[in-house]
Amino acid sequence: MLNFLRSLFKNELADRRPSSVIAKNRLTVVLVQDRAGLTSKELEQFKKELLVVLEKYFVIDVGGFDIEYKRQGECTVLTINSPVIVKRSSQDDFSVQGSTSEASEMGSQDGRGVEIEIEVESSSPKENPAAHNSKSEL
Amino acid sequence: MAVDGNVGNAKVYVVTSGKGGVGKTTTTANLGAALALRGKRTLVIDADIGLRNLDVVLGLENRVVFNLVDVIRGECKPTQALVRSKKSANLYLLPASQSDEKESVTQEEFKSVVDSFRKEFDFILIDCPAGIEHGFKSAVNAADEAILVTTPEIPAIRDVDKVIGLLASKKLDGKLVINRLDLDMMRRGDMLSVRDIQEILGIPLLGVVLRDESVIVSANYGEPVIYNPKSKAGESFMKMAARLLGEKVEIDGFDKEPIWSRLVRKIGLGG
Repeated sequence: MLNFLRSLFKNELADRRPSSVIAKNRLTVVLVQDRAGLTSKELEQFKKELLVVLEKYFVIDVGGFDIEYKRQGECTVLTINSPVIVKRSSQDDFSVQGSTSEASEMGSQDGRGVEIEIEVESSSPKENPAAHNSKSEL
Repeated sequence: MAVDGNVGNAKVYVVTSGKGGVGKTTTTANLGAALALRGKRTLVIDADIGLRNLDVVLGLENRVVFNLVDVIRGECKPTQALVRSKKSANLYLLPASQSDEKESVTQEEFKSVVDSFRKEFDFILIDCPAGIEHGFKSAVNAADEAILVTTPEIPAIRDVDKVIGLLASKKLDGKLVINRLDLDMMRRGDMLSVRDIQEILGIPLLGVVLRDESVIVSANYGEPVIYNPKSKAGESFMKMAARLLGEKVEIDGFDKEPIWSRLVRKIGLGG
């Protein structure tokens, strides 16, 4: 009986991820919002609109779509990861509006799953009025 | 007179965290004591006007005569306000005033007091008040570099991230101290790891202080924990001082990343 209870308990624990992993994920989400100066709602909206733009040019795997904010010195680097399944048109040029952004594309002609990574750099968004302008453009 | 830039020889660090209760005062007291033990002339300044505590952590509360506000008002000479540590001839405290309000000292006044001590010390550590308001701004404004204290918990890390952003906009570099780390909890996955925290915050690590009951016991006696040879936390602070002096000392809990994992990351295969 005791063993049975113990095994039940063990199984339940084994199903759960370590609490530090959960903490890390929660912390990452909070910091993304803090650093970007966007609410979770605005961030969702930003994601949605980005997806619309990306899907105009690529067939992408929406499930693998991810935005990451990292600090680099006094800049916040925004990295958008999106697996590209296939290129939609023959356009070679891919650009994101705005002077501080740069886009890079890692060949997608062969039709296999490849990643597209866009990095946008901006200096401390909370104090930079330009960041607020770009917010209103969204 | 406030003069811009380094006036004397001392390097001025502000010990700050954003959130309260993470161990700023304990870190200031112990790092200061550790530097003094290493033969460096060290001044610790309590910038928490109205809520002073560095005096009791160092066990010097009965020796305080004048304070920082008295110096600014010209009621005593700057050196008269300094309290020498019982344990070390190299360690001095400049206490905060307990009866004045935070706003009674301007940023310029605070900086000029700090600068006036530069030529007499090797290190000056400023114990910053919690928060990011007036007292924080004064303390930061007077410093050359920051020591950012956090604990391995979401609220503390979130607040210190905000402070790192504020310091970056003022072009002030910071080094990270992770306080109250429990190695067992970290290794079984129930505490954010040193590596995770360092990577998320993206600033260099100065040290990790292991969770240790002796910190509280020492505080009860009014003695820095570094004087307890059996204390793990005391050892952590001594290592931190060594690192601040430019020595290469390993950091507790910061397990080296395996070579294969580093390779994978460099090549860019990992997530």
